[in-house]
Amino acid sequence: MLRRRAPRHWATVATFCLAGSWAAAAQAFEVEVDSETTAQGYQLRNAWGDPVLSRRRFLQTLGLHVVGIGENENAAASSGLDMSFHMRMRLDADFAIQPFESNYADYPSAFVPGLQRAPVDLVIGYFDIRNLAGGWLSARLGRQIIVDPLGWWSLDGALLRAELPVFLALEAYGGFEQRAGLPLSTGRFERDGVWRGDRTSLDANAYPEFLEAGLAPAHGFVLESIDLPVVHARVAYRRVWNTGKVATSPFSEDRVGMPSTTDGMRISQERLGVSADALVEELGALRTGLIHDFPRAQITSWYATLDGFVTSWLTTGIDVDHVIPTFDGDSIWSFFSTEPTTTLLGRGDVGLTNRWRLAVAGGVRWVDIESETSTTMLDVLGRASVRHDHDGGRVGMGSLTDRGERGSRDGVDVFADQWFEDRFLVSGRVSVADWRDAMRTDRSTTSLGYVLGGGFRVGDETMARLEWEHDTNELVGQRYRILASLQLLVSR
Amino acid sequence: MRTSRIQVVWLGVSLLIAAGLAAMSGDRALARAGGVVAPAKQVSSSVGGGSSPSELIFPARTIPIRFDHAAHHQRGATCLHCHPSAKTSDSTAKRVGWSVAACDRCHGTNHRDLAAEQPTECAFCHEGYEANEANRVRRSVVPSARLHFNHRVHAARNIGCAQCHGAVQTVGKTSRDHLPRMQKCLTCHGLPDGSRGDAKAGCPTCHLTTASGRLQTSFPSGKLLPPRWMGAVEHGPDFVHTHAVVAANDSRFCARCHSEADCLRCHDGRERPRQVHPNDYLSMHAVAAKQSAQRCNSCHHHESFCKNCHLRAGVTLTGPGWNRAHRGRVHPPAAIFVSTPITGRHHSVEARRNLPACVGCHGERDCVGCHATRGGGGIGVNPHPAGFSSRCASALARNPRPCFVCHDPDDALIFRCR
Repeated sequence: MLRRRAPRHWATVATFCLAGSWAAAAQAFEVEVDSETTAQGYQLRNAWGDPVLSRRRFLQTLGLHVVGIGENENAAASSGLDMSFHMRMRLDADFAIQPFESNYADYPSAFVPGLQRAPVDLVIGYFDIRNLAGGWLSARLGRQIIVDPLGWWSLDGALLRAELPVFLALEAYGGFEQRAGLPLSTGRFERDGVWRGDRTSLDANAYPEFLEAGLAPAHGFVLESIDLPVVHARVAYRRVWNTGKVATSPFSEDRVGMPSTTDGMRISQERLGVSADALVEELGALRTGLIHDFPRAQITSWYATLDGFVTSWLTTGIDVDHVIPTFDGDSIWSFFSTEPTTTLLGRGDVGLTNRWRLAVAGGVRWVDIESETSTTMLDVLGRASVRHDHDGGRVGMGSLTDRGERGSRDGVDVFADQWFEDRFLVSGRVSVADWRDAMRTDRSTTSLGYVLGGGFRVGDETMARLEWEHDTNELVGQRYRILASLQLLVSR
Repeated sequence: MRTSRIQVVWLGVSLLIAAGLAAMSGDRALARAGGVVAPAKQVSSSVGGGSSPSELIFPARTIPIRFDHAAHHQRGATCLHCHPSAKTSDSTAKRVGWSVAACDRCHGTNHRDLAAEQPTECAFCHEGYEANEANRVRRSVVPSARLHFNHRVHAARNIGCAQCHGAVQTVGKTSRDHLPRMQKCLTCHGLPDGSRGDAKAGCPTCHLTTASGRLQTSFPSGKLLPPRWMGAVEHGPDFVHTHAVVAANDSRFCARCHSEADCLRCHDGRERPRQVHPNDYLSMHAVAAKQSAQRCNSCHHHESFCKNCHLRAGVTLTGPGWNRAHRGRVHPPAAIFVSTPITGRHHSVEARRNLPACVGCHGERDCVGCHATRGGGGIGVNPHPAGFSSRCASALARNPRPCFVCHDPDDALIFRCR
């Protein structure tokens, strides 16, 4: 909640942002540094047994949070601004990737576009400034994640939020979408359908569908209701452009034998999302939403969930999800993807006791194929899970079934975690899964796997873990995975 | 057309249900006050409403004392007779427990000089006391609540003990049921700006926070989870499958406890959450993708996540040449998957309903060879749905690139759409 303060510190903010330095020694900011390190080794093989790929992955994240920037230990002299800085860096390495796999110049037949052995990316890195302009304005500057009815997404830029005195908040943002191939970036937040990266070492004719990454200007806004009783709603609009010269047809060539290209600002996405919630404490909740895709001129997704609080220990619900996959504006795929998939599920969540909890869900998923052989594909889905929390531990079970035209999957997963003396953790998991591939019956099998693990809590927020996983099935034989992790947190 | 009708019906039904819920809510409104959830109904007797207070907030206590609140109340004792610091304590670290001096005043005992006491009298109040243990009694263990709370401020506002602790005067020994519930706090602290007075809003008003400013939800004895009445986000065993809608609709609600790191841990596709993808999912994922890959992109970007691995493993039509000899056929025989007549297992059916599964392996080149017009390098198999020509101008204007992948810029079809 923003507090109302006099709008007298714009200059402070500007100075801070420009100088990028902390103010004087009288400040009372707090610093938190956390890190997570995970190392794992395993192998995977393709559907025909060969090749076998080794994975030796090392994932390291390092987070820094500085809160209370600009606050003075003398409360009377405090500015009233609430400023903080949040950053998270990540190294996601696979040391089993051979250097030649990313060396097109010397090994073009082994080259995999976009493959990097040890990429580093900036997950987030932003200043968060609140209580601006008398308390009704806040801002975020830098790389940030935006979560709204359009999904979650990464922006390099600025976001302003104004909480108006009329039950309404307005957010507006502008900047660039995070894209693969740009410094300290990944392709995680791009729309599907386009394969992008750094093409500087490639011949123009090699992998023409692997497009050169360019800046992607973006802007959007969100209107959100605040402080309204019972209901809450959001409207989100986002527009992103593709820029730069990219290859078009992989076959047609210009006069000098190069792939034909196109250039200029092109729409990557333009979408409007609307969501609405209604919650009555003793009765239940309704959540709905939809996404309208402007290039397709169509509502491409809508959903609704209805929860009913039947008793103090029983919640029942219905979920509906309707989606047509959509893709980046540079992609041809949007022209192919036309049939929506609708999923309808009923749910129940039962608090059997204070410690036992059971959840079940079941329903159907269907697609209407409108063609010369008009047909409805109907799948039956179900899942059940149960959990028991006890002093220093937890045991539980999860299961699923998914059966239909394309095959079936059924599985059960039992797990247990137990702490000893609040310091030592022993964990185990056993899974049995069976799947039938209706399109390729030879790809059907039953799998059995287990995980054994242990952990040691060094301090309140420092933890080391080790896990051994062994899976076996007729398709790939034995698979092993070893995983070690270390979590650290330091506050000052 | 039918899809549009369904959408209209769905919207209508949703609005009706929302209006119904709103109408039924009456004054049990839940107001969102930037970080705060709102007024709860007045609760009776003890403190009412829902299950017992969380042991993470009020750690388990041991009070081996015989005490009858009702009997003392009938004899004229008030709360402050035994709990004098209830008016002065300004933090949970400063106990509001009973004062033994109060016991001494009426019972004629003297806890300051235990040597003067007759051991037989101890058992009157101290449970489990053995006369042969001299003055040793079982200790009371009352850990501080993991909250910020100022009794003095609340007492000064004339907020009586019963408003938070219920009708203690009617019971013998109190229990956890007489500890405050959050719904009760929100009677005042959850009111909207302007009507809340000096009561502060926001979770950190009462709850402990981490250095990064978010609620402290992790304690040695477990995780602090939200109750059902607050946002209907009870974190049950199935919440991993149902939380998406909560986050999409009200991500600021989630952000009170969760940072981006909590989301990225699963949604970045770098670390496998076993509750979503159990042990041998790597072997099973192909069938899962064939069944339905429409929502895989909530964690995986198909081009950057799936394709790299598929190219290296030789599960693609194109890719590095060194593993070409090891490739086999993933799809049904061409007579079913590619040729006519088109059956339910034809690749066009798969592409129309579940294209994300195709994208994980195939590049544009694989499709363009057939679907491009002859000038674009293909054989002109038209993939566009019926009625596409009426909106192709809009598509071309917004982004011509996908058009030029299959059509030569000089193609007559392109001119028709300009």
